[in-house]
Amino acid sequence: MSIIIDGTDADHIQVRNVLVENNSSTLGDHSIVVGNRGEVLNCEVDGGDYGIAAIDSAGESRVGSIMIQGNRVRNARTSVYSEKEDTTVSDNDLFMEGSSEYSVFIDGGDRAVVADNRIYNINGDDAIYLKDVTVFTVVGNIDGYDPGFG
Amino acid sequence: MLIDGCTQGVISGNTVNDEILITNEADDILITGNRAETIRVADAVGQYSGAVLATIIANKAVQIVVDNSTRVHILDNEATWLSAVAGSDWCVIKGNILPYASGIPIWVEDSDDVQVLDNDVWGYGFGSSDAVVGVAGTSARTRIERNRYHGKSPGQAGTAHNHGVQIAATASAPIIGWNDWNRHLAAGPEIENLGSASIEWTDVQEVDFVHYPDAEVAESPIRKYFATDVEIISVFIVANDGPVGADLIANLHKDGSGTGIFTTAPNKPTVADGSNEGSTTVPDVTSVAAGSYLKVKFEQIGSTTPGGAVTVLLRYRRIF
Repeated sequence: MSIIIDGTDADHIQVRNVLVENNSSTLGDHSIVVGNRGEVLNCEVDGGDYGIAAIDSAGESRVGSIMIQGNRVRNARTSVYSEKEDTTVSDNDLFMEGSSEYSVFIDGGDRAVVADNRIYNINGDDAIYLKDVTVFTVVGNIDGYDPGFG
Repeated sequence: MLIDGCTQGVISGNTVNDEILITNEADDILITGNRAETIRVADAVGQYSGAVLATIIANKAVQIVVDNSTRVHILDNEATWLSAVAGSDWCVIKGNILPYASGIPIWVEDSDDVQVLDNDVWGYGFGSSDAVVGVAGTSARTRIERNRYHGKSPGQAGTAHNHGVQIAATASAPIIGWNDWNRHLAAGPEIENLGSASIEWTDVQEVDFVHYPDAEVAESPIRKYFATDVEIISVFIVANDGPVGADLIANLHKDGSGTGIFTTAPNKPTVADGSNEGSTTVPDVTSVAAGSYLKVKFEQIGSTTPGGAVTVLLRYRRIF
């Protein structure tokens, strides 16, 4: 079964308590996508190019405040991705192994908080990747922790 | 963890399997309380400047590397290798603990005005040139003070380090103060100066031997005792009443020995005939052990009129 939550063009979408199972990891095939002012809370995601992403919305790629919190993501190519101006990624369990990329990738923006995530990133790229972010805090993350996905 | 081109950030309390890398003109970054294999502030991409104004404090890592990045402070960390290389100017490596160091654990290469202060090192060297601190490449004005070397850690194999500082032939003008490492070095000397870099010593002390009457060909009655081992840096002589007819020549004798510490005639402190100010020279024997003393002996005082009101200024530094 493959489910994609596509809220790319939504101005404010909240995705809560959703289970996405067995999604493919084909390029562009993301599991949960939010647009401006999106929130992804307490979801469980299996697979995806991006497991959870906050990406371009109607040509306003940097607009938006994003909260990605309390989710469990496994086996996506990149677990969490955001290109928005204000991103918080906290308290997530992010499990990846094999030919994976980043567990958290924040591409630009004015503010980013990456806090208290438990990350298991084997044979992938950097567990946390911040690129061209103006003000950021990366606090209390554990890389190498197996969150115990069965 | 890769922090690429970001500014004004805090990286704190993370546990990272491999590396925390700060790169591409990252600016104003605080890195504290992390555990990582490597913490690197660097020009990793090779086409941008490295970071500026980063502070790396109280982390635990195997190695902490500053590469082509300026004004980075490495403070109070625990690691086994610390380095500032490739144009990492104005960096400070201070107060760190290196409990299982080997090779040359604090390394400054091609970087100017780096300060290496108050670090504690336990460890062993692999070879005869291994030092606690290495100053390599074209590094200039590296300041090295108040570091402590404690010998091998318990259970470590190998031998203790041989030198406190190794200065490459291409490095220049290191500034070295008191460091507590001599007592645990395996061989020495304390400074392995592979070229002719002129060292500026910052812990130099001075003592004057003052001889008011006309000089006589005899030992001065004044003894200068030393409470610790010292190295004589230089000796300067001046006579208020200059000698006439011949030079005034002095020497320094240790513990009543009949032989002075100047054994090469041209090196002896000398006030030339008709002059007042003498020469500043380095003795042939520079080490004086704790408990020993020096006395001035005038070997020649002038012929027509002896030199008078003579002062011999001794500059030395303590060695522990």
